[in-house]
Amino acid sequence: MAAGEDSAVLRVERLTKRFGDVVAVDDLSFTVGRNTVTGFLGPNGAGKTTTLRVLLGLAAPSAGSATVLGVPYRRLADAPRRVGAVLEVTDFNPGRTGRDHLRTLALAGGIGVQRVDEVLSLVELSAAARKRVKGYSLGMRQRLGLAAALLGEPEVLLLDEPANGLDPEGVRWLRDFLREFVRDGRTVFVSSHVLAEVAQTVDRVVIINKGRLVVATSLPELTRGSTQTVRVRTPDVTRLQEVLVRAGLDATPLGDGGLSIARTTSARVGELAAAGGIVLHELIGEDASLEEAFLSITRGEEE
Amino acid sequence: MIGPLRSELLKLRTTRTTLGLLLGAMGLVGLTTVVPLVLADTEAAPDLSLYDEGTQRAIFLAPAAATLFASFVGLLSFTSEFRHGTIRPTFVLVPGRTQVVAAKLVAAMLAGAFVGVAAVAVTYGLAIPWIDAKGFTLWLGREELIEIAVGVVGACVLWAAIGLGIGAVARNQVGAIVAVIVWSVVESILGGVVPRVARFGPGQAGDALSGSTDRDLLAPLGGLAVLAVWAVAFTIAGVLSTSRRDVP
Repeated sequence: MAAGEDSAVLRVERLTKRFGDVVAVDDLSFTVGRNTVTGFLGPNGAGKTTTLRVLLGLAAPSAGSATVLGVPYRRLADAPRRVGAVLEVTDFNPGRTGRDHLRTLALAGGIGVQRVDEVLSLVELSAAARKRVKGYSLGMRQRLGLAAALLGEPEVLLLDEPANGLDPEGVRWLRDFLREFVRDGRTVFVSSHVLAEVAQTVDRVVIINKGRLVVATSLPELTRGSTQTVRVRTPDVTRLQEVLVRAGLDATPLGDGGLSIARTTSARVGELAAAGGIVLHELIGEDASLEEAFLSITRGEEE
Repeated sequence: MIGPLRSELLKLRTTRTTLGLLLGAMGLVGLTTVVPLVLADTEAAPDLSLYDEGTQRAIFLAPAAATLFASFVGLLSFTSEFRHGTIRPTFVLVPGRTQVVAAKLVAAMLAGAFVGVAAVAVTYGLAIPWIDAKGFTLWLGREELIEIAVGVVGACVLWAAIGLGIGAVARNQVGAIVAVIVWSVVESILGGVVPRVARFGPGQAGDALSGSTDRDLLAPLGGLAVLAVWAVAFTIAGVLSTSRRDVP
């Protein structure tokens, strides 16, 4: 492979994509490493789908580049066996049966038709295989899309909002499936506008907003670096509040000798108290939930 | 190339649309064949007699109507994929877009040939035994019948290619169908006003190829050449449009 030394499976470099005056993706750079599940997160309209379309060669970059396994997708040799993707859950001809849909794709990708029945059973759709897609539920369509992406037993899977329309059981099934998928060295890049959907699945996150990169990091890093609400108890509430407010923090007395400090970390409050020589009886950092971290990050970007 | 072509042929066979177009073509051709056969030599149509060579020739022009349906088969190849979004998985599996166009082109031309053969079979299967049963002489000789049949099939094949190109450029299904219908109206109006120019249009070139003896039209081989030029032009437009434009 040309990309022998390049460990990045996906590489987006200074990518900009404009549609007329609208800048959908704005100077975006990130990489996705092998053998990880990476969540691609951002609010609706952040540019996730556009980025995926450029990665898959469906749309051309206005500037910058996006490569898959070291090359622009349209130059990727043997694509069906290397990359699988699901972009829209509605990408079926409703008059065709699920099995026929997969047969047309298998033939196009030069994949043996016996693989069709394998992937159908893998996504638990064998019973509905010979029914027209128009009778499928949203969850069944999601699984049919996934079956199509798996036809060539690809090493990389790109999924756009695959949890949309799945019931909780379906979300759990998907999570287990993706974890299993990366076990033998394969890679998943999965977008979502709801962090909670993928939080238990992903190793890393790439968060974008308004077409720009907000942060690309591991999941533990995401919460570690994020702000908390900190509660302290001290015999000297007035002086601590003074010290904290002078440091620019938002400290609210709780009565009973406690203070609540928003948007900071327990480390910072502890350091400020020590510097002021103030005794603390209690110091509790309340971890913001992942979702709060996600929201605070994307909201911060907007301001 | 073989994989994508087999895929396109399977796509044609696995929805009801292709069958609908085929039946539509056969229905229209059947109707335009049967109506003059039934009305000829009755009080309802005093000018129409199966004894006349002109009447017989007019009946054997019926299969030419199949070219419209052949163009729709080609047209829908791209527009239905854009309409339903299957163009995305298609291009993800076959990133070389020219390969997709080539596969669709060959599949559409084969399907167009099928439509043409079916149309000829309907007219010949109805008209020849009917004229014979009524005791009239068939004015068209064996060679001429073969010439018309080959011409109709050729026109259908080339119109399927034109339809494919239109579909690839237009992408929007309703828009593409309306464009084809509007053009055929425009071309027939032009035919009345400036026949010397209009005969170079794809519709009239197709008519010339399908056995029409209208004096304003080109000879069958001239029609073939002109229609082939149109087909190549639309195919090039389709290839350029497909390889250069973003897919939604």
